[in-house]
Amino acid sequence: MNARSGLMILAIGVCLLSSGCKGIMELNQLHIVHTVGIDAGRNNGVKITAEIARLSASGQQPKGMQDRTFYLSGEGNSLFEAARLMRTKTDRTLLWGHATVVVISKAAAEQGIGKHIMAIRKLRQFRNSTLVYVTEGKASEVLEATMPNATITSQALRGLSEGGESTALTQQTTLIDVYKDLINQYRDIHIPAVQLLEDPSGKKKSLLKSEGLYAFDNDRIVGLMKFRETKGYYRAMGSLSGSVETIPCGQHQTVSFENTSSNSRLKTYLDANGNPNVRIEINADLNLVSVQCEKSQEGTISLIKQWEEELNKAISDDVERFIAFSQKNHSDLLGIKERIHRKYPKHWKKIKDKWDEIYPTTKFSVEVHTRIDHTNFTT
Amino acid sequence: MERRITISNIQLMSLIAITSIGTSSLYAPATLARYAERNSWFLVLAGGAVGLLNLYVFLWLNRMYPDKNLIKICMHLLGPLVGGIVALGFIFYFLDITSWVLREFSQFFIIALNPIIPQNWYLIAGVVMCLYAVFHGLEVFARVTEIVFFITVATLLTIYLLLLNQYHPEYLFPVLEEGMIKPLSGLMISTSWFGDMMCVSMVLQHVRKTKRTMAYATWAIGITTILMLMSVLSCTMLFGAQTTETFTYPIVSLIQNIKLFRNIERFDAGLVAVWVMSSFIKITVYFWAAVQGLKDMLRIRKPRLFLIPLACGFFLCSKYKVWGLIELATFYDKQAWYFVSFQFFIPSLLLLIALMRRDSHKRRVSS
Amino acid sequence: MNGNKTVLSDDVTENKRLLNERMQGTEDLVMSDAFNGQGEALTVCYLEGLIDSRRLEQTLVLYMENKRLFPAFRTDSKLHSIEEVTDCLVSGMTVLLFTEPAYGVAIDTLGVQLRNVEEPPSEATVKGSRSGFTESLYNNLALIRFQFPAASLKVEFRKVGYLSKTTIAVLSVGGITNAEILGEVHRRIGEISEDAILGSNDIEEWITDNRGTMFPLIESTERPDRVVGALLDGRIAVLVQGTPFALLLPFVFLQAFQVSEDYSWNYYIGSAMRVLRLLSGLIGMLLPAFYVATVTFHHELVPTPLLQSIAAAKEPVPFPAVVESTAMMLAFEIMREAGIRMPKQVGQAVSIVGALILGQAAVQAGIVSPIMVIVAALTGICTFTLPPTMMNYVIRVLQFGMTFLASLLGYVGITVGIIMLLTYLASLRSFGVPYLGPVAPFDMSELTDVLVRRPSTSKNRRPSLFRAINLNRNRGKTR
Repeated sequence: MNARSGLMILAIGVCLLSSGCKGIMELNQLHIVHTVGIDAGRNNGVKITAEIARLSASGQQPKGMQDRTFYLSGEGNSLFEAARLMRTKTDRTLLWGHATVVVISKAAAEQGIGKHIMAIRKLRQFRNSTLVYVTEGKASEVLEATMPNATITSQALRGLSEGGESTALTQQTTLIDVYKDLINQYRDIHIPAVQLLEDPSGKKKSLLKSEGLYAFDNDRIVGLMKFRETKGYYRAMGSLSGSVETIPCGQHQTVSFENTSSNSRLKTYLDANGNPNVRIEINADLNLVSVQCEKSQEGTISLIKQWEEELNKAISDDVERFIAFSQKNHSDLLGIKERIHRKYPKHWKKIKDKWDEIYPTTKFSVEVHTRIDHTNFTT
Repeated sequence: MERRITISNIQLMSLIAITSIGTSSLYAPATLARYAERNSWFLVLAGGAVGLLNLYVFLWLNRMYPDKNLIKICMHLLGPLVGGIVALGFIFYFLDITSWVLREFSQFFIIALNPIIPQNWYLIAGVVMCLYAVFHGLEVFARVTEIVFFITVATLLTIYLLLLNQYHPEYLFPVLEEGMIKPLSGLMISTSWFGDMMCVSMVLQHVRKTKRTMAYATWAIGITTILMLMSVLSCTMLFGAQTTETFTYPIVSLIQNIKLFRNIERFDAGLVAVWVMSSFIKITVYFWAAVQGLKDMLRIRKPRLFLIPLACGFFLCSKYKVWGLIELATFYDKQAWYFVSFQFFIPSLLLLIALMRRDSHKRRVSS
Repeated sequence: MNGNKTVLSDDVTENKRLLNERMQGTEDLVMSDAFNGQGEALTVCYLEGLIDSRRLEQTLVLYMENKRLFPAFRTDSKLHSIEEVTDCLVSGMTVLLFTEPAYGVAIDTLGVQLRNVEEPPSEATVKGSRSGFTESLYNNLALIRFQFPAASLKVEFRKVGYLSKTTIAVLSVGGITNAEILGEVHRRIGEISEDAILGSNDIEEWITDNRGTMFPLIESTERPDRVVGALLDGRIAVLVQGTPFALLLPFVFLQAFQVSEDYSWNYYIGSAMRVLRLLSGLIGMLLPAFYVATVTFHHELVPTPLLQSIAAAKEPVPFPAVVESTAMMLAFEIMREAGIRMPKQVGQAVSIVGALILGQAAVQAGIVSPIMVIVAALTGICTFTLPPTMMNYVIRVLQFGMTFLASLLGYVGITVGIIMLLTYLASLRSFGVPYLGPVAPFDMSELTDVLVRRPSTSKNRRPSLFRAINLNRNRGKTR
């Protein structure tokens, strides 16, 4: 009995083994994709470029993320087809699961970003935390840029996005964020922009720069928010953590402040006519970091008060610029409509259909309270 | 010859909780969001209330017939013919649900992990693992259930806790904007998940009863509701209701949002473990219930001989039952009444009959 | 063998002949005739080499002087048959045969060269008692009595093996040990029908609950303090003549992760060690499987930079990860086994060869990847942290199974493996105690007791797991 069951187990085991371990992907049969670039292709198609790390030759120490990279691209009617066609140009299967960054060209985004994002989500291997960028030019060119000390572009782009914490000019926008905004419609999508810079030393285009945000209306790209609008947006959202604020003092001279904390309160309410109004209250703490004009008065209460007022003005200017941009382009980045929905569900049903007309006429009022904390405490 | 099989209160609690949350909490948020959007938590609460009622039906039946399981109660109450048919219905239901869950089990990996590995492998792995447990009997897998319970609850709680800083509570507002009645259209399906604990009807007679048995059973439903609530709430608060609805397994996406030490993410492995373990318990307990039912009904002396043919049957059934997840989900969704009627309606009917019988009996005795 | 016994006769030569016949004419049997003071004839019989001749001489001199044999008797009963005499002879006694009336007297003169009590090599400790059992049963009993001089300690001798008649001792503590389990132990010992018992492992295999299992259902230890600790928990110890290992039973799975040294350290440290051991047991079992599953199925889990490094390192290796890992683990096992079997002098060579050939050269030759070497080494070392019960061999065997499952279905395979393992463990019992111990069936206070080493002052209850009669450890008030 025992021998028989043993034989049976053996037979089953052999069958399983000989049926081949399907689904196994050994690492030496894979190319690890680090960055994906999506460009508009011919005939309304899609061109996809992948940045793949070259593995260091045998015998050498593995270099982690310091290996050189190479590029593959494919073109097809859909993202999936393009990705599959890439396989014809390579000796190995591509592993998409480790793509850290997706760069979408503006041209591709104009086709409607929704379909690209959906296609990527459907690919299933992609991470939720994959970063998304939009670039003015060609995405494939962004991938080919080389940052010093970061040979893999994805690492460079990831590093750039983390810089947003101190500059408030960009932010980590991940695939899931974009997908959420796209589906939920709680607010419109924004995706950070990245730009290629000419390296002054050589002809080669090599440096990357983060450059504000692209705003969307649904899945249609509507425009680039430059630095001030971007900063204003983050201020209004209360998601700003560090930034630089300057106010003029004298001719061509400025006083600079470092933002240490900032939060905002967004209140929506309906006025007598049932039109939505929005009040944005911002509280910010700042440090004085450099004063270019004469320093004699520095540290006096009255001067600080004056600076604070100027800062209030400067910041609310930023925010208002952002609001103007947003209303002009129907890009409801702050999610005002959802806020109204949450607060006035009954009223919302009435104005839901007319929202596109209502939004540009919504009244915003901005109130900024800044506090200057440290002025000249040099250690 | 047969030693009396007993399981403890905690094992009963784990069994109830795991059969109802283990698998369903992985996809519940999506399904419930289809019915109630951001108010799916309300559906969970309502389902929990019905589930509690459902549990009490079984407890009551068990109190009236402490040494009979559902099949025997059927035969006892309704006589050999009608009772036999109803009992057969139950056995069929047990068999049927085993293959449903088995299919569900393998489908998860196809969707969430790797579509390349053939489904048969997962099916075989599932069948073998459950067959082995059923072979060892209730006592053994009740013990495993305890361990699985702790692992599952700990994993799920860890997931929800690690995401704490990513929640947006405002996604829940406005609360119940459509009123209390409209979201209840999904009550049937919510109930059917809680009703998965109907396997206890076969188990209850083996529980070593103490004063606290009732409390433990109630707690089990409580834990189930709380965990389900957490799963629904965290999905809604993280993704928003509409997005949740688009996922097949929202918790998979949820766990992918966890990121530790900048670089470590995709803890799918944890979910795989939870899924395998919970499905294992669920399949096993229904498989066992079916075998037990067959044994009691047909008075089979050696039910172990039936295990391997039954297992092969499950494998084939699950494989050809539906062609894919869409059909599976649609069945769960649209035919929830099928599950609920076996889980709740028929047992309640049995209870009613039993109560009437007892009353008339008493009256006869007193008069 | 029939029950009839050959009675000693009054004839000296006849007795000698019978004895010789019975002992198959063995040539180490010494039988010399002598006369005592009164001129009474007696025959001194013993097995050469098995007795301590000085002790025999002392006893005989004493006997000649006092005409009495009081101090040296182990039993003062007289022997009347040849069978009894031979039994005494083979267990190292000297038998004085008297005639008219014909009887024999056995004197315990056993004198075998045994090693001294020394630190048990398999269970070395940094802190705590350093004495270990030896091959002598009585000496071992003495060690236990010495550590635990309590009147309630009960020793029951049994003879097993119809040829060898090995003495085994069953130890229990009155008022603590559950009589039911004790009875069960005796019943199972009674069932032993082997001809000779060569060691405690023979006994273990006979009395275990499930003879088909690889998992140890009975613990064995070389340390008297561990035996005493176990006795106080309500467990039973079985000592076998000739083996320095005491059997402790019942045994539950989680106890494989405890060592007695835990109790010699501060309780925080002791507890941390326990958790560490549990963790390394898990790593030892699952790490290769986890590695294989991760690099062949679930590449997403690895942080990108690490995956890049692994991929680069794996680039020249032509084998799939399963083959690679199985080969490495096998190589490790071979080295370990060689290290044990080899004479100490050449043992060093193994480690050099192992480290150089299997570590450095294999990587450079592109046979295995360096990551795999790390995995194999870590796994191997992890299993060494466990106390040397059977468990760590079991874990090594399970490694291979888990790796195989992982190579088929990835994490799913591993989880399926774990589930089946758990089911199997849950189905085991050691003398009626569920093998999965306080985890399932769950008992919170027992579980903390297993995972956490409680301070002595608050350890006021015995584990109820072993169904001890009296669970209270402290007398009177608990403080």
